[in-house]
Amino acid sequence: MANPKRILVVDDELSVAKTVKFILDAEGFETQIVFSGEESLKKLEKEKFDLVLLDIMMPKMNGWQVFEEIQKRHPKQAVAFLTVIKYSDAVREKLEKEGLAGYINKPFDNDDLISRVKSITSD
Amino acid sequence: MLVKDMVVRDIVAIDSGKDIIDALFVMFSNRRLVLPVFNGPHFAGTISMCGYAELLKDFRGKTPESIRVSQIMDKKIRTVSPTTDVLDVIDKVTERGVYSVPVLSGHNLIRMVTREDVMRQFLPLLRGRFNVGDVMSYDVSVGSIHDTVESVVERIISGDEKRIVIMDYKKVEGIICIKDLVNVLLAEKSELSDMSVKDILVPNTITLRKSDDIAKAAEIILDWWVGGVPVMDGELEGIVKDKDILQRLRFIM
Repeated sequence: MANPKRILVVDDELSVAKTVKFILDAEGFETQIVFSGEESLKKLEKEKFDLVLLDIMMPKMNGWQVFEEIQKRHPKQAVAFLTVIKYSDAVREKLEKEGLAGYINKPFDNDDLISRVKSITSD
Repeated sequence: MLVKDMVVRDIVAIDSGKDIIDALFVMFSNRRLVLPVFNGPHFAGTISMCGYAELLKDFRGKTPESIRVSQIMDKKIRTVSPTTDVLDVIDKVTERGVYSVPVLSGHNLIRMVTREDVMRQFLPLLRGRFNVGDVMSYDVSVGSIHDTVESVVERIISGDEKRIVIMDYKKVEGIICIKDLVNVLLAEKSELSDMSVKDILVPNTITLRKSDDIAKAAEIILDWWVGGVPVMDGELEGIVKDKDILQRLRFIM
């Protein structure tokens, strides 16, 4: 049996992070959660993940900063934004050019979350 | 102390031919409110989040990707030299809407000094010198967690309010400032009318008391990238802002 895909959820809202973990673990992913950008960077120094699901609007280190830092330190790491804000098409296109692997809106539909994560991690 | 002797962050710049989305990406990911703009190899001006928000009044209806940095950059900026006294720099960065000042050696930009840089550099001087109550502003803009994003955007773009303390009845839930707003302005316009402040607020219930050391306020402002911290004494009393702290700092240097 293949190893489960590993997902790191970075969200300062405990309820969101736990919900994502619950949904993805039930689908066979191995999900870990951290509550800040700083924690995610420490985690990525020690462990490998197939995808980082990153909240944008976090205190202290915002998601944009974390994304930039992950790209510097781990250029091949897949990162998707997990955000309430639905950015315009132009913004989304630019983000993809910058290396963002995907974009998931909150609140999310369970099936949509699963299919997007599967799609990104199957590449 | 002279500007050249200060410790400041590296320069992060943007090309004048880039669009506003590019500029905002660079600002957010590098935690800068102001970027120097280069026209090829030449320093040409600055672009700020604050300036962008204000200019939206004139660019309403235009999408961020259709506006070039060169169209909205500030070309008439005041600069300083490496041998300028830090006191003069504090005067400049605490002017309304000015958050940083370019340092030029000849025509070359050698650094940008920001409010954050000054506060970080002189934080030890502040410790134990003043209480929050000595420097805070009692005039504070307040909004509700249930306000629409559109109404808050309008208040900040159209008025003098650059920071709005968001309350849920008598409890502070966070602060909305320019950087939060600009992030929202990158969203699909059709989405804004359905969003409430709660959707875009980064929860931050940190408040101070009048008796707290002003250095504590400076540390929170630097750590959380906010321009101010609400002051509570049972209920909201006011706000202590980065500008208030720097202006007080100037008098003890």
